[in-house]
Parts: sequence; structure tokens; C-alpha cells
Amino acid sequence: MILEVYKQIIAKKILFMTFSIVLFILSVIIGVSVGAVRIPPSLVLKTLLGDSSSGLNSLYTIIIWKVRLPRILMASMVGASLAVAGCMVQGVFRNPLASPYVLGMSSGAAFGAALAVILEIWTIIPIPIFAFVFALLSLTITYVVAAEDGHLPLTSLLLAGIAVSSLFSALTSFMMYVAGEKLDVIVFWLMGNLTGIRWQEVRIVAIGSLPLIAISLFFGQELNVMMLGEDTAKSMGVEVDKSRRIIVILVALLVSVCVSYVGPVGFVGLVIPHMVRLVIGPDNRFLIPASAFFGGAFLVLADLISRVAIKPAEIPIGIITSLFGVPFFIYLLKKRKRVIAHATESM
Amino acid sequence: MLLKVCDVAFSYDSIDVLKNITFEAEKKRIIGVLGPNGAGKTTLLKCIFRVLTPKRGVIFLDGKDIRTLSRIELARKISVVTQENINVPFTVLETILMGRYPHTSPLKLFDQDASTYIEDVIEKLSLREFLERRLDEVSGGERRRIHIARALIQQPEVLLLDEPTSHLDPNYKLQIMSIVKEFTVKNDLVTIVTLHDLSLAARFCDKIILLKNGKIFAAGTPSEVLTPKNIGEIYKIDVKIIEGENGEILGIIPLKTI
Ligand SMILES: Nc1ncnc2c1ncn2[C@@H]1O[C@H](COP(=O)(O)OP(=O)(O)OP(=O)(O)O)[C@@H](O)[C@H]1O
Ligand SMILES: [Mg+2]
Repeated sequence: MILEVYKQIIAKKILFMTFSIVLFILSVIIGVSVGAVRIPPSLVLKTLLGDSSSGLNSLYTIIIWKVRLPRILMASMVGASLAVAGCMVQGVFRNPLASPYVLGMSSGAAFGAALAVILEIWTIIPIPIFAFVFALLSLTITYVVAAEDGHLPLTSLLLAGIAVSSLFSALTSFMMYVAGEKLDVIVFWLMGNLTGIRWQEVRIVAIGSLPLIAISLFFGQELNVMMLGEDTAKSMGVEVDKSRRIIVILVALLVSVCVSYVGPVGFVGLVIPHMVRLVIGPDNRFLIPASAFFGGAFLVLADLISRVAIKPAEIPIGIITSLFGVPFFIYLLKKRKRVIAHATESM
Repeated sequence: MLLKVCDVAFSYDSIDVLKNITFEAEKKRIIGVLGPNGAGKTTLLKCIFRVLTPKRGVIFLDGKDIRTLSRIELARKISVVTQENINVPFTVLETILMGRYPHTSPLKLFDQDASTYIEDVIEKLSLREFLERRLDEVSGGERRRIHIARALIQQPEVLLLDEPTSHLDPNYKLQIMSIVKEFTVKNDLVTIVTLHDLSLAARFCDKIILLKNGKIFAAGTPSEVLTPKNIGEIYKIDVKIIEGENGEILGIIPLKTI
């Protein structure tokens, strides 16, 4: 009897998860087929499924495999990673308005990138490596500032993240101020973009992010219990401090890997988990995987818009996500004031 | 199951909140911890489920120092309803089922083995009609019952309830306490409740511990402890005690403050 009721409750979630998977696959196919050269979706499907027999246009094959697919896979992984990271920070902070960028890694990465440009090191060491190192540096600072003998208090973590963000933002601004004619490169990076992504980058980000996403899936129920409050979670068997540390590090690594390669793409990590939560509720065991697919699809479609909106130029993808993200964010603020007020109260 | 609290003391920074707390709690018995606001009741419970570490003293569960148990082992033995009436947008059924957390793999969605027991708890606490509602869309009293159900579904040996009857109407106060009593006896639980309702405490607790400024002021059966003199000293009120035919306390009515 109870099982029946529970099945009803999760049926909706499973349905939505299926929908996000289908949406994701469709968005990949559409993403690959639309662009400066239009490729019929049926042809895309054939090529992707490895059917090279039917005399496929080799130009199409090159466009699909060499140009579009790496870029779209990158968009999928970044969208999925940021959405998963968003679910986890929102769960840990018990605040639906937390974004994976609150911990300061994105600002650290931005500074790293700007520094690499200014020092003209990027011809020797790629910008992403520099950005990643500084993302980890900012995580270390945030962590050390926030930790108090074995504990990681949420308020300290949040404040430390804000402080570190501000610090690196200021440093980045300074870099931009002294950048001279290199300013363009920095600005371009800061807006977040997927231009010129090749398989090499895709491989690195895949090795970094996919295992982290997989690990995140195991933390669903733990996050659920943690949302009942620190004391209750402990009484139910969760090592709150330990889990919080692991989750913060998972989030930090996911964000660092993605941001280092494509720049600080905004609002995906904030908006996607929230949208999904509005549909299927807060159970992280479903929220995390559903957000991963939904986030992936969202960024693939955003990338599509960024490529075709003002052809032949490209709009950096960060601008697109924010253009869609900000109005939705404001809508949430207005609509969900009650929930937000509540969530912050219980911190 | 036997819970032994031995000479426990606790202080926040330099302010002593608990001093020389020693008592034993047996299975099938409800212990009521009473005392004015700020007496240290919540602090005592938090020491027992090890959210706070006593500055001195030891707490034993069946002869084992609780510090030697891992969180998950402790959670299989002790479940808690905290004083805050936690409110998150999970559905009621999802919330209740989280009680299985210490007993099942985190990837298992539903613990089939416990389903009869879960069914029973939901039935007893009259929660069936709420199962699909969201926790933030039920009343405070309903939410209280939901958290109690969650704690029971954790199948503990020790049940700690911090003001379980706050938010409840008179009918549910009686119902909840009867259910707690029933589970305590039937499932061999050690139950510790903090209460501000003296009549309810007198009626349902087998033993009362009166706390004053972090110390045990009096301990014993309700009739021994809940005397007008003790109550006057602790709460600074005059009370009228209504007794039944066998001398048991039926009700304690506050008359005026002193
Ligand atoms: N986090 C804290 N830091 C400092 N002092 C605290 C803290 N929590 C509680 N106290 C103090 O410890 C004392 C005991 O608090 P406790 O919560 O145990 O009281 P209580 O008996 O549960 O009261 P109530 O009936 O109001 O729930 C109080 O004087 C309180 O002010
Ligand atoms: Mg209290």
C-alpha cells in the first residue's frame, strides 16, 4: 500500500527524467545539424551511429566529427556538471538560491586566465591549466578560511567564498585595467565561450567531470537527509562535517574543470536545478541525474543560439545563458520569496 | 537496553549549562525531563545523541560508551525529534522514509523489509491522507506528527523527543503520548521526552527528572516529584493538583505566578 503511494510519487520523477534524456538526445541532434551549413537530422543520426556506408557527404562528416560534435559534447558536459554542482551546493546550503560559483572558484579561474593572458604565458601553458590552478588555489583559500577545527560551518563557508570571489574579481579587474590591447582576449574569456573546442579539450574535461558526476549520484540520499538540518542529519547517521567536505570538494572540482575550459558560464548552475526542482521536487536522488541531462540539453541549445543568432558572428555562450537566466532568476525571486525566506531562516 | 548518563557536565564556552547529571533509563519506560526555559533539557538530549560532547562524564548505551560508536551505529540505536519543527519541501512520505537511512543502502529507494512496520506507524499517527502532500504545505501539528513518524521508522532502541507535543491540539497531545507509550512498551524502547505540559508529563511518564539551572533538582515518579512545593520552586507558580482515586495525578493546573 505504502509502496503503491511511493511508486506514484516517483513515477512523475522518472517520467521527467526520461523526458530530460530524450530532450538531451534531441538537442544534441539538432545542435549538430543546425549551423552555417545545414545538415539534415537523419544524416546526423546516421553519421553519429557510425553508418559510413551510404555514400555520406564527406564534408558533412568532417563538419560533424571535427567541428560540431566536440563543441556540443563540451557544452553537454559543462551544462551537466554545472547543474549537478548547483544541486549539491543548494542542498548543502539548504538554500535554493546558492550557485556553484559561491565558493569562489570561478573568480579564481578568471584571474588565472587573465594572468596567463597578461604574462603571455598562454603560448607555453594553455589558459585552462592556468585557470584550473587558480581555481584550486581559490578553493584552498576558501576552505582554509572557513574551516574551524574539523568543522565547516555553512555561514563561514559562504562568507569565505564571497570574500575570495571579491578578491579575485578585484585582481582580475586590475589585470584588465593594465591589459592594454590584450583586453579583448580577457573579456572574451570572461564571457564564457565554446569557440574552437577540439577533441583534445573534450577528452580532458570528460576525464575530469564524468567521474565526478558519477560520484555525485551516490550523495543523493545523504543530501536529502542533510536538508533536514544538521542535528537531525547527524542523529540519522550522516557524518555531516565529512559529507559536507566531500561535497564541497566535488562541487569545486566540477566547477573548476568546466570553468577553466569554457569560462564562467553563468546561471546554468543556479537556474537548472531550481527549474527541475519545481517540477519533480527536492529528492536529490532524482534531482541530480535529471538536472544533469536537463543542464546538458540547456547548454547545447544555448550554444546553438549563440552560433546562429547573429550569423556569421558568434555570441559568447555566457551572454546567452545569462540573458535567459536573469529574467528567470527575477521571476523566481518574486514567485518563491516565501520559500527563499524560509530557507535562509533555517540556515 | 539501558541508557546510563554518568556525571555529565556541559558548558557553552565558559557558561555552565549542565552539571552532575546522573541517571539511568530503562527499556519500556518513558522518562520526562522537565524544567523551565533554558534549564538545559535540549542540551542534555544533544549530549545523548552526541551532537554535543560533554565536558566531563560518560554516557553508556548497554554498557558501551557512546563515543566508541560511529554515527551510523548510533543512528541505528537512537532516533531523535528535535525541538525545531523542520520544514523542507519533500513530500510527507519521502520525509518519513528517510528514517530508513541508517538501515539501508543510500541507493535503495524503498526498504521493502520494513514496509509492514512503516505501514503500522503511518496508520497509528493518522498520516495516510497526508502522504503525498508536501511537508511545507501541512500544518505545524501535522508536521510534528510526521517527524515523530520519521523517528519511529528509524526503529531505534532509544527515542529522544524534544517537546513532541508542541504545536499539537489537546486531542493529538493525548494521542501522540499514548502512541509513544505504546511503542515504548511494545518495542522495548528507552524513551526520553522533554515536556512543558505538567499534566501530560504526570500522566504518561514513568519517571520525571526536574532540571533547574542545569542540575537535577528532583527525580522520581510523577507523584514524588511533581509536588506543589517542587513546582513552586522550579516554575515559580502556584498549582492545584487533581488526584485520582489511587493517588495518581490526573492534572496539574497553574493558578498564579509567585
Ligand atoms: N548554542 C548556544 N550557545 C550558547 N548558549 C546556549 C546555546 N544553546 C543554548 N544555550 C544556553 O544554554 C542553556 C540551556 O539551553 P537549552 O536549549 O538546553 O534549554 P531548554 O531547557 O531546552 O529550554 P527550552 O525549554 O526553552 O527549550 C540556556 O541558558 C541557553 O541560553
Ligand atoms: Mg529546549
